[in-house]
Amino acid sequence: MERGPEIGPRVVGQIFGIPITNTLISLQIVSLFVILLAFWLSYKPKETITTRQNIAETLVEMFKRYLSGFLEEHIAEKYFSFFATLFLFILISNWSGFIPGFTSPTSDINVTAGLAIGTILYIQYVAFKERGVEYLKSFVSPSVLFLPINILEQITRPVSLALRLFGNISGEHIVLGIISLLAPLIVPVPIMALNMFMGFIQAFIFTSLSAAYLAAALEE
Amino acid sequence: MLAWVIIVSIITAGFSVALVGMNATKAQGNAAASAFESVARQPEAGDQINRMLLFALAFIETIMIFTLTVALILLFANPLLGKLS
Repeated sequence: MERGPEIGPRVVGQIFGIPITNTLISLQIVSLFVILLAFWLSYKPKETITTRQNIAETLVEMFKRYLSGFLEEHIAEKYFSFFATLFLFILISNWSGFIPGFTSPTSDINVTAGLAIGTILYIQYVAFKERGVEYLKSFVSPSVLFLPINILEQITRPVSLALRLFGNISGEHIVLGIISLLAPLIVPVPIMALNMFMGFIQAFIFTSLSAAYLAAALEE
Repeated sequence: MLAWVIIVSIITAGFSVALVGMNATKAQGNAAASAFESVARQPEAGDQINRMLLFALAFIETIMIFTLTVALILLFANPLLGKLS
């Protein structure tokens, strides 16, 4: 059977029999870039505020204020770094697809599934740490009959988080591919601008939904 | 037989995306319209309405994305084609 057009990661090589896909390579590059960016932004803060420091502080303050809209003040302060890292990583992953020859790591469903499952597990851990055994009681909160429904709710959350991010980003890439197939010259530029905006919105949605899940788990 | 599976897959994928696009954009329009009305009536609650609107739009969009995923599976990774050959 002839192989048709493909979607998703492409195997580009092997190391010790483990297949290496192009999204794996771009994922490592994006992670490295995020780490270097964070280092560069926070490297040796000075007494007199430089431009770089000013920009970083403004962004951090903005994000902190946004996060404390969902969570309580001290909780938002405590887990700020987790959500900020999540946001920065997803944002740069989404935008990295615009570099020619680069594939967005988030257009691979394995990456988004890993992100979503990790986020949900971390939220369970944080809720358990903050509230102790009392958190387990919330699974049977109105009555014992609701136990399967509550567990099902916890399972559908990572599925919807992963599929939302993956579908949006890879859908954008497909639309961009088709448009540039039809009219390669100037027409894709507005679509690219729209995709850039959508990438930002998706990173935002992922972070705020995780924050809202954490807030729901911490609710008394 | 193989041709029929391909034809039905393409038509199903196109129709599902078209139908869900039609209805979900309508729903999103309704949600946005009500949010704008509420902001016009109560501008001081704008921040909270904005946040809630973002969530509502994200949840409506999830259904759209699920359909898109099904359509993508039908087009690019159709599991039925493997059973025939």
